[in-house]
Amino acid sequence: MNFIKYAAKRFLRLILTIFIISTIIFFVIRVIPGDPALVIGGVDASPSDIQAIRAKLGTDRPLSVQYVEFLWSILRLDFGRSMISDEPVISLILQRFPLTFTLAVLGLLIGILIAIPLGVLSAVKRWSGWDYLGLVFSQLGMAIPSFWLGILLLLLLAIKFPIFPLFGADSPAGLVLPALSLGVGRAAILLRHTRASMIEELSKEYVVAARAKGLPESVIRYKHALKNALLPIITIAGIEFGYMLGGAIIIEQVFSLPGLGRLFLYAIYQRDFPLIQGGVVFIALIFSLVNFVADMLYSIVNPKIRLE
Amino acid sequence: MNTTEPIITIENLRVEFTQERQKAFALRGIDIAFYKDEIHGLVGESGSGKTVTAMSIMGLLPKPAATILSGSIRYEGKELLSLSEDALRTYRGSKIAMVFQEPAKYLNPAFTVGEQIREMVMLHKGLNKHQAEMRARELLGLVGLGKDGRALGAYPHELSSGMKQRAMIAIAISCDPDFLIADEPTTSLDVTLQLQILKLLKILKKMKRMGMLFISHDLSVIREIADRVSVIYAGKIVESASVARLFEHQMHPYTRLLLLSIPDARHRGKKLATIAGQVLDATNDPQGCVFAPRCPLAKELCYRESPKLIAHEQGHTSACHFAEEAWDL
Repeated sequence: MNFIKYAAKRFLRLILTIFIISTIIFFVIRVIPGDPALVIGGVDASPSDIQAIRAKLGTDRPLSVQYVEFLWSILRLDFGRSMISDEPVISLILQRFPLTFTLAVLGLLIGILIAIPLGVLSAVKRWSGWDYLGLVFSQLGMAIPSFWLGILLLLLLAIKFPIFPLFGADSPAGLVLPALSLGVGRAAILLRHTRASMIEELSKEYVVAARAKGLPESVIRYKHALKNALLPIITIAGIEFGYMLGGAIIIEQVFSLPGLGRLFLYAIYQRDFPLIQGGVVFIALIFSLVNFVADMLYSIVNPKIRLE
Repeated sequence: MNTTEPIITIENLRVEFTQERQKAFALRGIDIAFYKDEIHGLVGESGSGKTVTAMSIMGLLPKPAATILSGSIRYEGKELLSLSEDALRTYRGSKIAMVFQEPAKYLNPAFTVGEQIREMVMLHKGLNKHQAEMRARELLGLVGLGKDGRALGAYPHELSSGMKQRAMIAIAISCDPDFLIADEPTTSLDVTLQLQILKLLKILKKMKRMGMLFISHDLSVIREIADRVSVIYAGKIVESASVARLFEHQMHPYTRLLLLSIPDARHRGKKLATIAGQVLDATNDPQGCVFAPRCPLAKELCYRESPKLIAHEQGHTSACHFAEEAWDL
């Protein structure tokens, strides 16, 4: 019962977030200079031509009318048609989305697979070789920009030793390097959180109580402390996933992958209002949904949260 | 008195803590014996070494801060201090168990009460899941958390503080230990709950014929529950006797002053007695009696020579040079 109430509350928050983001993006792209009609018409278009294009696009109508129409389209999950290609925005997004999503998931997976074991090991064996390895890894991981790491990986593993393809996502192998470049930076942050969280849990009183029960040290660490330590990590991983989607956009440029990133980038160049709006709202929606799922997951693992 | 062999004997236990290159003497050579079916109260102010004594028995002194300088702790004649960590673990929880002061902190928030009992009986008693479940249900009934087993699925935060302490007691006694250490188990509870928990511990002791070390800074709680009392001051046992005897006749000035500092309705209107001065600094290692600097009766001998814990009549022991003399404070 409590769980349903909690989930409903969180879902309402999600709706509110989407509404606010939609409003902001709607006005921001109209406030900054740049008119899609000028882009479509080109330099030679006469003022009357431009006016005709504006009328066709609907950008000549009052902002309030356009805004209400926009909100209504979001409710129907239909973001209109691209001003440039005239294709439905949602189908353009859905064509590209699987690649970006796969990339983000793989990146997060790599991040988690590196961060959690190494973070836990660093915490359990503090100031050991593992801890220093973790420290060096996380310092480097946070300092190196993902696109630069991507370029380095390409130079090394696609050109010097051609193990992976140089660009494109025709085979799953094409996703390995982009996912790795994305995951390493996130792993660095997750690792620091995991280590700190685990160290904190290991110093708690219930650990002393668990020792007094005669439990083996491995059970105390990997059952009693780890479960408590991973709780905040779930939330952080959810937020990290959002960054991953954003990061994927840059990485797609480096690896020439036809994902959402390139779609949105061209949309911005061409002032394709519906596509920009749709893209931002769509990413916000995915980000919010992922965090919603993370929160639900958190509340299942940690029943304490439901009461709050 | 008790003529049988003690379950646990501590002899000349000296424990030192090192912190930031400073050495602190936590236990300055204590002797104490615990018997089956007896609640042994250990009373003293904070920092006097009560919890260090408990943790020494459990083999859970914080490492590497604590060092055992000398002494012995024997369980049924077997030396615990020479055991390996793995060997000690078979005693912890199964033979010697512990209840802590703040159940809210010492229970794991992420596991149900049932799980925290089950894992223990499965480990020490080799029960299977189903048997462990039955055992947990039975234990919760025993400590007054209901026979319907509803508390089994409860997480610690879903229980009141009194119920949490009952749950922790259920965990501690789950493997039928011979000896239970209760470190200020009622201090964090309000007075009515305190009495309920004391009553529960007394019943359980009788039922399971356990020996018990009951640690408290509160003499009135000790009087309520203990059969025998030892008074600890600055890492030394200064006096030990049966409860009845100790409250009637004190053979150490510290104990007398401690009793005088308890508010008493009969002395209403009078100023409450306090003990002048401060507890001996733990980094200090005096040649004489640890209490001498605060003792109103201290003589030159007290500063020169450390008094030994000597047995007088009726098993009453005292570490005071003038224990046999009639003094008035």
